[in-house]
Amino acid sequence: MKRLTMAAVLILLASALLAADAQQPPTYTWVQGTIHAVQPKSGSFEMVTGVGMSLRLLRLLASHNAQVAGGGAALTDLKRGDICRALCYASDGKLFADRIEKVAAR
Amino acid sequence: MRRATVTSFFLLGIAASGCARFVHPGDPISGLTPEQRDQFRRGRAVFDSVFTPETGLGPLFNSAACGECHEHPVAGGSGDEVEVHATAFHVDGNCDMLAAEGGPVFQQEVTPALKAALGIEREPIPEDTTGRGLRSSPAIFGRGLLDAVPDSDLISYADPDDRNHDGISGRPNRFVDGRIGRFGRKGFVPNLNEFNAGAFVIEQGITNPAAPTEESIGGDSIPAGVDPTPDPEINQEALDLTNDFLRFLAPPSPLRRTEAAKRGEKLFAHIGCASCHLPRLRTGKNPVRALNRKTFFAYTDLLLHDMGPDLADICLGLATPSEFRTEPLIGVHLSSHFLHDGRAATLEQAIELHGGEGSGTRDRFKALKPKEREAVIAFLKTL
Repeated sequence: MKRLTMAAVLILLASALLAADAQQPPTYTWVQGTIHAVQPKSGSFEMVTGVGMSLRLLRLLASHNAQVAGGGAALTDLKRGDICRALCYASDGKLFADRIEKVAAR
Repeated sequence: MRRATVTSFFLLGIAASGCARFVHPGDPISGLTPEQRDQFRRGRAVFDSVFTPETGLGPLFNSAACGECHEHPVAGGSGDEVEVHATAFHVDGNCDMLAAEGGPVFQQEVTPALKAALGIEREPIPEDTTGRGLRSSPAIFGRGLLDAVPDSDLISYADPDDRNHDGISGRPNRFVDGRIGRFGRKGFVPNLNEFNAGAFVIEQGITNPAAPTEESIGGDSIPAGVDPTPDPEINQEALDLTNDFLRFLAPPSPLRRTEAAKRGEKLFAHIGCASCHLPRLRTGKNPVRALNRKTFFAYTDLLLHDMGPDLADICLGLATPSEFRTEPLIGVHLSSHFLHDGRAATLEQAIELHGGEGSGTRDRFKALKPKEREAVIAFLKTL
């Protein structure tokens, strides 16, 4: 049930919070999923999350001081298929990750 | 004195068997509290609710009600409907579940408003798909019991490297966040509540507090005005009641076994069926007394097994196209078609279509004498 709540919060984050007022202090949420793609040049990555068979692709930007931990020190160390969790917040209609942790390598 | 004791035990045995309630399809599990029985009854009403576009149906959907697909012979049974899943399996072993393009479930129906806006009859399947799979609607009796089996039990059944050299190498699937999966034909979804919450969205387009956003239309946003019902389209109470109904929906009692069926049960184990279709599972500690530490007939290990290239279709999580979770045989006597896509019209055909890790058992089944094969089928028809 706790996991289900977390997954719901995660999806809400990707939708409702994207429209949040940029002036508000950011609300942080941990999101856990499978890395779908990494674009080091733009500092962004995509993660598959979801509830049951209803899957969603989240596009996240690593914030300028983002830390990558747990098996890698940079965004380039993340590989498609890795299971990661990211501490993220919404701002200006985008999702930013402040901390990215590799939970399990592919 | 000794004779009296024996007689007492005999009478007690008769009394106990006489008291064992025969569970009909659609009955709740025994031992529920009056409150839980009420939740079961009210949950069945939500399960049978027929949605319309005005009450949230769509814009993409496969059916208008849970009970439209899971209907035979009662709510929670099997159905004739077949849906479409698609994914892309890459040479490096990665599975793209096409989440960016509306996958892995591609809905076969659209609301009139979506059809008017986009001119489509169903969700488009992307070109980069490598596998397409049809999925029949299974009976979902006893899923609360399956949900309550500890992950550690599943792990203990796994033998990914076939260390015991029996040709069977089951392994658990994992969800996108790494948790062990067990529900769905590829054993991808970790638990019943999440399966149900996701199913409301992918099957009916009904958003809910646990899955609050609609599916995309092949990866694109829903056109403005097409889905005006505010999200979530059902509330937490309706979702909880649906979960209660499915959690408390009992496995039907096995039918009375003939002498042939009793021989078939032994042959079922002897030729190796029971290596994957484990007859009994046991639930762990559970806050619901009726689900707490219960041994039940499941005929599954909830693990993935390679079923050979002829059955291969989509990947999902860790599951390769040819890997499928062992199908529980709970209530199989009520089904009229078999395997994940319903391609087998008889149980005998279903066994003969087993490949990969199942090929040894299949060959042993085919090598049985006709009467022995009939016995195995007679046994299966009691489950």
